[in-house]
Amino acid sequence: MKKICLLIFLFSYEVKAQWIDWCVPDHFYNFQELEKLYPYITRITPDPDLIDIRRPKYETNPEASFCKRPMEMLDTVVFHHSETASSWTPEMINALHLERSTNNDPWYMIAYSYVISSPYRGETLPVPEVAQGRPLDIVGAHAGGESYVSMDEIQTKLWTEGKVTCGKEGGVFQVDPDLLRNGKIKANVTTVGVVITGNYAPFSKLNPLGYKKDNPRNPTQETLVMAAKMSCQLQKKNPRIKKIGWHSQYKATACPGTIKNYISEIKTIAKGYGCEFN
Amino acid sequence: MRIQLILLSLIISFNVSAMDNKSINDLFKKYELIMNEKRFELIDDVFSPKFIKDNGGKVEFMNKVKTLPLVKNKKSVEMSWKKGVRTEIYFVKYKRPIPDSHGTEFIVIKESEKLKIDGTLSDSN
Repeated sequence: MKKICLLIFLFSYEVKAQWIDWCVPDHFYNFQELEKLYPYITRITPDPDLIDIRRPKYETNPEASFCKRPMEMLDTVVFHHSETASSWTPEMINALHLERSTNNDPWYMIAYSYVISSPYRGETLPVPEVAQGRPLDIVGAHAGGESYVSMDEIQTKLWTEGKVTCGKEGGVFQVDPDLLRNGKIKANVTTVGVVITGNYAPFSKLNPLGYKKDNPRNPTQETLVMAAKMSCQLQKKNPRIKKIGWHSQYKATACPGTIKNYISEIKTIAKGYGCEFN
Repeated sequence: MRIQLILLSLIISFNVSAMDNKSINDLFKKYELIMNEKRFELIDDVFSPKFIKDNGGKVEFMNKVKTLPLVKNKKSVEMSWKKGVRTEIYFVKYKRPIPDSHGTEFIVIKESEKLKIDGTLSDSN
C-alpha cells in the first residue's frame, strides 16, 4: 500500500492533495512527521484547504446595514455553541437571525462566519460538517455588541485609514464612529465567530435545553479535529489570526458551555497541522 | 386626515404590543410554575412539540425539571422581549437580576393562536 501511495505521489503532481487524504492517517497530517516518515521526499507542499467547507446560499436582508472589514483586521477565532438543539442547520440559524434586530436595525444574515454541525459525544447525528456563514469580510454579530478590544498597530492603521466601513447593499459605505469606544474597537470587527451547533451548558431554569448535570455533553473528537482544521485553515490564509477564544471571554454568558474546556486541545490539534495559536 | 390615520395606527400598534406583552407574561408565569413548582400538567400549554422533542421527550424533560429545587412564590428573573423582524416570532431575554449574570434567549412562536416556547439560542449580537 505504501509503495502504491508513493508511486501515485511521485508521478502525479495533480493528485498530491488526494494522495495525502487517501494515504496519510489523520494523526500523521503533520508535515514534519511526514518528512521523517518519507525522507526521500524533500518537501511536501501542503494543500491550504485542510477541510471541505460547504457554502450554503443564504438569504440576506437588503434593508439591513452591515460593516465590511479588510482581512488584516482579523486576529482571533471565537467559539460559540448555538444553544439550540444540535440538529439545527446553518440555514435554520440564518432564518432565525434574519428575524433579529439590534436597536431596530435588522440583521443582515447569519451572525457567525462558520457553523460546525456536529453530534454530542456518544451520538451520531447530525452528520458532521463545516459550513460557511457570513463572508469573512463582513463583520459578524457574535461576540456581543458591548464588547470592545484593543487594536494593534496594523489594526489601528486600517481603522484610521477608514478601511472598516458600514452601509447597506448597493448603498454608500462609510466609517461608523460607534464601532470605536475609548480607543477600543468592537470585538466583532477583529474576530471570526464560529458556532458549534448544540447546547453544551447544564440544564437550569435559564437553560431548559441544557444537559442533565450528571450527564454532561461534550464535543466528539471529530468535532475538535474539524474545529482545529478549520481554525488552522483560517490561519494559513490569514496569518494574522493567532488567537483562539470563546464567547464568555467577551461577555457574561453560559456560551459555549463545556466546549471551552476543549479550546487548548483544539490548539494542540491545530499545531499538528502546522498552526500556532495563543 | 393623515394625522388621524397616524394616531389610529399608533393606537393599534400600542394595543397589539400590550396584548403581546400580556401573552408573553402569562406564558412565562406558567413556565415559572413548571420550573419552580413542577406543575407538569402545564407542559403542553407552554412548550411546542418541537421543544419537547429536542429535549428528548416529555419524560426526559420532566426528569430534568425534577433536578431543580422546589421554589414557591419566588420571582427571581428579569424578562424583556423583542418581536421578530419578519414573522410572529418573539425573542425573550431571561436573566437573574444580578449585574453581569448571564441569561438566555427563548424563541417563542405562535401555534394555533397561542404562544409557546419553541427553543433557546445563544445570546449573540
